[in-house]
Amino acid sequence: MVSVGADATSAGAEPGRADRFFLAIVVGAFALIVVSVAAVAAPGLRGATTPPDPASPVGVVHGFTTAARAGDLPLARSYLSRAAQGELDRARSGEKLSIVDARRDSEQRVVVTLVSESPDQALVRVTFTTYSARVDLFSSGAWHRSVDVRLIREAEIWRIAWPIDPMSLAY
Amino acid sequence: MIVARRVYLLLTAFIALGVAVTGLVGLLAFAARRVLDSVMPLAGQITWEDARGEVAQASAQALVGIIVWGFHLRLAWRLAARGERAAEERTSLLRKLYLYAVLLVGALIALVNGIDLVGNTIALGIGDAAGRVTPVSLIDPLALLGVVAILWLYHLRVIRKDRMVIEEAAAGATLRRWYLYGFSFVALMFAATAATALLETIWESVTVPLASTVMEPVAQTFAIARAAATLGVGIAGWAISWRAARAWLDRTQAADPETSSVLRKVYLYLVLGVGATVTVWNAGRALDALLRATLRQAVGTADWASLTPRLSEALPLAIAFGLMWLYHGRVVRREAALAREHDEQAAIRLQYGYLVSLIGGVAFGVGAAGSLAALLDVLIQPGQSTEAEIDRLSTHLTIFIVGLPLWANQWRHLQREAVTLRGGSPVVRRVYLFIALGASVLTLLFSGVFALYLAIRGALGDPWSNANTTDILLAGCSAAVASLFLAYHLGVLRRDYARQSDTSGAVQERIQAVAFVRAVRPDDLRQWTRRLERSGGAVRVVPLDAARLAALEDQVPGAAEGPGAA
Repeated sequence: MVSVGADATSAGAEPGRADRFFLAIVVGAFALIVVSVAAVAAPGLRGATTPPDPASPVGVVHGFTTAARAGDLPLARSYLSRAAQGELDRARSGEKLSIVDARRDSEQRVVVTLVSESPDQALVRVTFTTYSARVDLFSSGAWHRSVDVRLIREAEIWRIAWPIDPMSLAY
Repeated sequence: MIVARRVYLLLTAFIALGVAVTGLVGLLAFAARRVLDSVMPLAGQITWEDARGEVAQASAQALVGIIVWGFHLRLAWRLAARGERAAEERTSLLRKLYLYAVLLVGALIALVNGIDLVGNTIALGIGDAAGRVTPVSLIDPLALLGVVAILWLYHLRVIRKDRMVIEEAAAGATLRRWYLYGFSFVALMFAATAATALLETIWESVTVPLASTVMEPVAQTFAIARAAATLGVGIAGWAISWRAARAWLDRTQAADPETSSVLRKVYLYLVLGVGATVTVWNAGRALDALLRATLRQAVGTADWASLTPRLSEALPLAIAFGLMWLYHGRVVRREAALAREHDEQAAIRLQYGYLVSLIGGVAFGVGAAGSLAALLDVLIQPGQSTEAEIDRLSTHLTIFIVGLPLWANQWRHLQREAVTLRGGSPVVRRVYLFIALGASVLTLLFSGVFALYLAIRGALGDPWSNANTTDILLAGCSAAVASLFLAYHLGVLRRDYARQSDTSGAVQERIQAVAFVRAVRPDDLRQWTRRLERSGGAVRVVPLDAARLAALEDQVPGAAEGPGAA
């Protein structure tokens, strides 16, 4: 006699025995939380937050970006090369020298990195990371935008040759 | 009439419960703010005059909501307490719908507010110089969690009592599964996404180049707090609900066992589908970034600085969703080891398998043709190796590398299963094969037309350019790969038809038997019969009483030897 439906066994669950993979996922998730909080809390891991040397390429771009994000166009303009200043003045002819609607986005992290440097030219990359207010499904919730800033030496001082418009680094 | 009465009572109770919760939370939050205000003065705290409206509205909502909810629920519960209809009432679909809807909504509210509460607490603990999170930020989620927890526990108690009186089966069990697997899925997706965000943040913290300066690091602190809270609460929610689902799976003697649940399979294959899609896509993105940088290095235009940001999102997504995929894949394999798999469950598994095969096969084919064309292009026109060509080669190689194992792994299992099947291949297999054949033929057609078009243009005097060479190489490689696909899948289809005709004859000749079957439930007998019919057998079921069975067992030699002898 064939018995149907009386001897079902559970799906390999092996009652009483802990599922190690399941436990590893749960424990690993909580370990990740601890490591992440520690990574952000540890000052050495989140990069230098003190202002860099203002005479260095990174320092010039840092000053330019800070001025742009603060809406201070005259200060931002002072970091540009002579040619770039002329171009900016032509482009903004008749406009007031201020970025009226510039506002600092506190949900945005900005990293200014030196890519290359030679005696008379430098390339600096500004990476904006904007974090979502909530965790969005299937996304890390962080959006990146990078702007490459070209610098030249004018009278022994680093000046920005491109981009000329501070608005490109305001947000 | 009784159904209309249930609909009215339970729907009104559900709406009134929502109103009562809103009012109670408002009152509790207001009281907590007043207490906090007396301990530490809060900036911008509203005055009592301003708060009068808020308190009046919350009080009215709480009072009316509780009275209406309590009254209607009492009437609805009275039917289940005693009388002839008590059992019918406890198993009624509408009662179960109300109870599980309250549990699901309550659990989702607890999940979202738990994330807010833990996130704000972590942010406060880390230190918020900008003052965006204050102790007041904890009050609203805390109040909502408190009220919802009490009501959720009450409804859970009612469900447990119902189960003790009459075991849950059919529609009641289905609604329980919707609640359990629905919540598991949402919590798991939150947890996997948050794990991605945390991994990315760690990656970005660790990979900040030395010659860099970071502005606004507090933004990252808040992102961490939110993601850590989401991961913690999400994984806890998933672990609790998934363990509950596992506990149901262990109850093999239940009236409606979890082993026969179609919804469980839907959940598992949905998670597998999401896991596979996100993992494969992002593993491909990461591989593409690595290949691109490596190939550009070969021609001296490598940009290793841009590699880190490219990997920063793709790798964490691949790791977090890959783990989810691996774990659920393991669960599916374990459950596949079960003796019985119902037709509907098998159908879901096969649909998933053939869908993954199709996606993998298309990626594998497109990648193979594109890589071959790009490589030949580089060999035939070596001077034309621009960054665009290198990126094209990298993209196609990535699609090929990702698609090949995806297709091969699934197809291997499906082929092995198809060989053991008797009585014809499932519909989904035939659909897959005809889609593969159709796609191959159409690729051949379009490639041929395009190649001929280029040849005719050349014959008519149009100057031949490097772009024409690139295009004709792509058309030729696409046609070659499509031909191989066409030949292979035609062979598979022909073997399937041959196997089908072989076995249909063999069944008639070789296996003729009388089976004495004792089924615990009528559904088990139907499943057993269907399985035999699915494999090409013909089954005739004749129910017997004990006397007739004994008489027949006497007539058939060996039939009376006990279980397993027939």
